[in-house]
Amino acid sequence: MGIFISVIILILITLIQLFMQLTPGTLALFYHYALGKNTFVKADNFCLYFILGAEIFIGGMWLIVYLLLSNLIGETSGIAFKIVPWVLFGVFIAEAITSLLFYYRKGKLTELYVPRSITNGITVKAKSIKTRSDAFVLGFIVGAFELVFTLPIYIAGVIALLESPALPRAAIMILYVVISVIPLFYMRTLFRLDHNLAEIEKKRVKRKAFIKIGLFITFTLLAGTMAWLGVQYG
Amino acid sequence: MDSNTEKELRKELKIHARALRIPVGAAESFIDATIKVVKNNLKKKTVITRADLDRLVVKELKKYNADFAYVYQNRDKII
Repeated sequence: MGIFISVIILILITLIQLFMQLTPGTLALFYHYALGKNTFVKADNFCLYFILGAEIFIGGMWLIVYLLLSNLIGETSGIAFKIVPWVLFGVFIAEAITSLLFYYRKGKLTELYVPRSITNGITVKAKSIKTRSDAFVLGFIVGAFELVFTLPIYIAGVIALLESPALPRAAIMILYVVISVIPLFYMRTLFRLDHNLAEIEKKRVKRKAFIKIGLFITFTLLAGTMAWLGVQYG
Repeated sequence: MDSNTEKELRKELKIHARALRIPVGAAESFIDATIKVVKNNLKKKTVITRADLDRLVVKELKKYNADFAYVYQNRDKII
C-alpha cells in the first residue's frame, strides 16, 4: 500500500470520528446539568475532565488495536492482511447504510439509535456528576458505547499505519487523538460563549442531514479503499 | 400533585433555569407561576401521568421563556 492510500484512509477515519454524535451530545447534556448545579468554573473544569476521559479512551483503543494487529499480522505471516480488508469492506458498507437510515431516531430531535437502556443510563449519569473523576469516567464510558462505529475505523487506521512504515506512527496516533476531540472543545466553546443547551440542540437538529450524508459518504469511500486493498493483497 | 413531586419538579426547573442563565428572581417567578397553574389544572384529574405533568409544565413555561420550555421538554431526548 502506498503512502497516498494510507493518508486517504487516515483522513477518512478522522472525518468519521468528527461526525460521531454520542460524545458531543452527552457533553452538551452533561455541561448543561453541571452549569445548573455548580459554578461556571467548576462546570467548565468537569467538562475538561470529560474531554480528557474521552481522549484517553480513544488513545488507549488506538494503542490496543495497534498492538493486537501488529502481533496478529506477525503471527499469521501476513495472512490477516488478506482477510481483514474484506471484513472491513463489509462492515463499512453496513455502517454506511446504517448511518444513513438508522443513525438518528425518527423525530425532530437528535436522539440516536442506541438502545434506550444505554442512553437512559448515560443521561442519568450525566445529570448526577459531582466530581471530576465522575466526569472523567463518563467521558471514558461514552467513548466505549461508540465502539460499534469506531472500532472498525481504528482497525482500518492501524492497517494504514502498519502498511506504510515511512509514516511517523506515534505522531499520527497522537494527532488523531487530538483532532478527534475537536467537536468536544467546540461544544465547550459554545457554552463558554453563553450559548445554552436549547440553542446548541437546535443547531444540532439542523445539522442532522449533513451528519447522516457525511457519514454515508465517508463510510462508502472507506469501504472502497478497503476493497482496493483486498484486491491488492488478494 | 403531591408535595414530593412538587419539590422534585421545582428542583429540576431551578437547575434548568440556572443552566440557561435566567436571572434568579425571574426564574423563581416563572417556576412559581408554572407550578401554581399546573397544580390547579391537575386538581380536576383523578389519574395523572408523568407525561400529563410534563405537557402542562411545558405549556406554561412557553409563556415565559421558550428556551426554558424547550430544554425541559427535550431533557431526556438529547442523546
